[in-house]
Amino acid sequence: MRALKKEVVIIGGGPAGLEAADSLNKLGHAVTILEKEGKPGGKLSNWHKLFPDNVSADGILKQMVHKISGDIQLITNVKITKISREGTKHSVWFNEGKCIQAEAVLVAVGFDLFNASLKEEYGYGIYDNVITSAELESMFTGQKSLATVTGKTPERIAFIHCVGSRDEKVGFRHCSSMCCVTGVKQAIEIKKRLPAAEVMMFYMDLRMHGRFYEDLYLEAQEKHHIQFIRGRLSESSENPDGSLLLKADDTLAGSPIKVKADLMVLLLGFVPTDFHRKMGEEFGVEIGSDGFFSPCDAHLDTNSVKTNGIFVAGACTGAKSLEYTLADARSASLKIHEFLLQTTSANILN
Amino acid sequence: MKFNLFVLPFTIGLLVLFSILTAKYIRWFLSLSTDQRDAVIKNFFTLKTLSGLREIFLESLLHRNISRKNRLLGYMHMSLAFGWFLLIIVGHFESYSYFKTALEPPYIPIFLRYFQQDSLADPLQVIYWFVMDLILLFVLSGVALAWYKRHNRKHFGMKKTTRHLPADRIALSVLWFIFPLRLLAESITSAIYGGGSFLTSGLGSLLENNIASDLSFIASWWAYSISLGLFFVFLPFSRYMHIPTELVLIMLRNWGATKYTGKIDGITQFEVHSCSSCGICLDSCQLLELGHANIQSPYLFRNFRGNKLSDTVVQNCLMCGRCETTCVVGIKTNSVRRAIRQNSDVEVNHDYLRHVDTSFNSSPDVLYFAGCMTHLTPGIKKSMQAIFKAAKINYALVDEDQNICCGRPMMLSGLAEQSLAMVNKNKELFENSGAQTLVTSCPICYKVFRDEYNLNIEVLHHTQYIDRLMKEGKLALAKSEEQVVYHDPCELGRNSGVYDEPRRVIAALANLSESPANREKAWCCGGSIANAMLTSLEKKELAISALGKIVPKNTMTLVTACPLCKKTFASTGKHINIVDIAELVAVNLSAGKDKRRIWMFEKIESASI
Amino acid sequence: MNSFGFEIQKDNTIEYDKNDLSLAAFVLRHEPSLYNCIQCGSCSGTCPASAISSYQFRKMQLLMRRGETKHLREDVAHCMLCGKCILVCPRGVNTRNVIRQIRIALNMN
Repeated sequence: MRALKKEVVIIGGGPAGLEAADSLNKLGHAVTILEKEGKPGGKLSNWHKLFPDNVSADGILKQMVHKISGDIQLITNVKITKISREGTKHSVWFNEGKCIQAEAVLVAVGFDLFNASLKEEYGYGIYDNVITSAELESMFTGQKSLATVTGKTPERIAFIHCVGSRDEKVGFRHCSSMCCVTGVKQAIEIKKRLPAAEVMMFYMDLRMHGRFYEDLYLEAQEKHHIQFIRGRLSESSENPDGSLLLKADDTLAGSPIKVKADLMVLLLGFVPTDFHRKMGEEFGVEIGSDGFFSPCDAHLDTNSVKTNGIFVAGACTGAKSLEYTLADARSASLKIHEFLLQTTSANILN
Repeated sequence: MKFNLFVLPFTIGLLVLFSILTAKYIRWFLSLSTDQRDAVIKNFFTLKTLSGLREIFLESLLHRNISRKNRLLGYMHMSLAFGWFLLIIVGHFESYSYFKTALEPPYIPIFLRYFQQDSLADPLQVIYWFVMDLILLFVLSGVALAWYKRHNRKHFGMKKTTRHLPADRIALSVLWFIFPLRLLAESITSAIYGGGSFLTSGLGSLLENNIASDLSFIASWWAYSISLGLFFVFLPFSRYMHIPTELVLIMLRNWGATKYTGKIDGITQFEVHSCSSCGICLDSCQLLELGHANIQSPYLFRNFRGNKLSDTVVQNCLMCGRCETTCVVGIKTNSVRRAIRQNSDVEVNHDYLRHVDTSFNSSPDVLYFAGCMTHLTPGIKKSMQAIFKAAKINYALVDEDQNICCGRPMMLSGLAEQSLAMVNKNKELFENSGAQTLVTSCPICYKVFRDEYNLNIEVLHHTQYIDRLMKEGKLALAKSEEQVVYHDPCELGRNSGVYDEPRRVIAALANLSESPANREKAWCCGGSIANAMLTSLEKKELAISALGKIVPKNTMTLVTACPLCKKTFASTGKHINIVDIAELVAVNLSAGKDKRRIWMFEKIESASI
Repeated sequence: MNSFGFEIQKDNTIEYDKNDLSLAAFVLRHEPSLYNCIQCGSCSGTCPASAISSYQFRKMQLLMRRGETKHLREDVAHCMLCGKCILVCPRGVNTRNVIRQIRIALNMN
């Protein structure tokens, strides 16, 4: 099989890209990963622990990065300028004039977190003690201290669900599906670190769809006495002491509710990246109404797109947990392998 | 006896016209408010009457305003109106010089050539004939243009034109016939009896052999008279009602009697009947972009005149005021629509406002009323607080915790009377504070506080207030090289006339570029609270379209001065910074001091509108 | 008058099959975006009238859609039409037109 060795370029060195690189390499292909940051790992690098079992994100990432060896080449700090195709060869251009050629290209660019300042009434970037779920993770990893801007230990922390998700007013109608469980996981982590703090979640619907997610929800209630308030945050304002005043409709109580909080955490939705739009406009890859890539078939072929030789994997086709991202990456590897075998046999016959 | 039966259609038509006009105008005059009537009485014997007559001459006859829009269109209207006017006036002089009496029946000057059959060509008569032919040619050129316009309106600077009702179409056709028929009658007269000048005599000699006969002679005069009579009878029931009504409206306006009363009154009637359905305003209506036709001001007015108002034609309007600025007659389209929307039947109960505490425990110099919308754009509110602080102003934020709406959204929706409880409560709040100045960030609030609250306190929009603070040297600001474009919010610009203060403030802080559609021509963001009918997608479509037209290439920042505009533009998801002037100032104030977080001017690689 | 010292407890069950849904049908026909409501409460949480009165847009329209229209007339009278609810609705419901249509429907009844 070694004779069939083919070049594959993977765009994106996050979990999906790394997992696919490993699988493709084991299937006998030479792989080059193009990563825009200085190191691989994507959003996983900034995460503390993973739901539902609280394993260390860093530990998982280390195991994945460890597999980069042999015929896997990693190029970091990449800025892709163009992708072109001649015959069966794809040329990926990057960093002012550099080019790499490949038989197949796997797009595994993941997602962006919603820019919370677009939801202005929540006050992100305006009020000091409004932070994002990503910023909270960096507090957990120790890059920042788990405190208000003035250094005070927060007595009450409010989590806001669906920020940038399920919201026509910011242009994203889709459910990001991962924020519910992320919020519950983070709320539990806060209670472990600050047992005296009061934590409340403002949610519309809790979508605990994965295995053991519901257990996490129960744990949050049972062990950590976290309050769940069914109502989307309407607006927030800042008190003179820097704390926040939250206004919502406590829909199950049937009355508007006003709550003071020292820290407000916005659970950011998954949104498509600039690269999605570029691939759509310049390379004809089909984009869904949510802005993510649309594969050829939502059931039978989740990794191919209409453009021959281009494949997609991971959260760039819609929000996914790490578990599903990795499974999808392995599935894409197999799809690419089949594709490369076909092109080879076609070439031999010719 | 200077009479022939053919003058009857004209004479009867004229009598019918005058009776209807008199009846209508008396009724409308009687429904003027006391203030409006007093203004007429007070200013009748003043120079205002003269300036009104001057305006009538310039607008109703010469059509100066239309000429400014499009010269060809202006000429067309002028040739018809001024030409017809001259035909009548010069006709009277001619009749006087011929019969040496001014006490002729009114049809004599109109059909003078018929009654001049035995005239001798004395030199004065030849001059009259020449002048009258010249004027007739002038009018006919207008008729020809009008006919041409129906088929080629683009040459007249109009994309759209109003679709007319049957009565309008009949009146229009009759109008087109009047002057060619006059030409025909006078030419045949000339062929048989001589006289006339280059036009009628010239055409007469062509008709002499085959057409001119005793029968065609009298028939042509009948036809001319019938066309005039028909036109007069149809006039009060068609859009041509604007011809006499506009004259009255111009006079009322000059007398200062057109003050808005909030309900349908005589002024509303005069305004509505002054609309000629010319359609010049149509191209300014952004709702046409969404395919909403037949709801624009001319249609509203026409349906009102015909008593056929539908909910859609009344409600589906942004009340952005763009049509008002293009109306050549100067009809206050927004006020008329508001009056038509007024609905006293809708029950509103704001008794709960009784429990709102309006006492003050501080004594501020300046009150800051953020406004409902500004609570959803806290960047503006926080910036204003930073500005007050930097300028060391003793201020109080009135609507920090809870707020009462200013009332304008209800007023625009036809519930002005019902909004009084809110208005009074807010007034009580402002007046209890003892402050001298009320500053608001919302142009909607600003407009109503300034124009309808009758406050003893000075009312300023924050752009005006910042401009003042800068003039007084209370804010230390430095100019940056940021390239920005300013969007005039409808309520602040067109509807309140505040254009210069925002520009002065921006120009002191950044490089200000102007969009081609600025000031009174500015586009509406689409988020208007005056329209309850548009879907959220339609509003977004309007916002995207407006952004595309406002923002020049290579500009990444759009500055506005209205929380509603900011929110509406932001919801388009377009890659462009949308900031309020207050934020621009606050960022400038804190530049270098607080770099931790700045909520704007993030780098955007490519604008994509 | 006989007094038994207690009042008969009002039954608060929504008798959906007995309720008159024609008013809701009218409003939904004229403002179908109301079908899109997910009861998140953004509207009533931001509403300045809700902050100082018993008024709640979310609850009012939900009850209306269940045919519970007894208090609709007095509820809808509380609205100040400020338009904040429209700006925050994540489903793009045209809340102000819902109010308008309810008012039209009530005047018709």
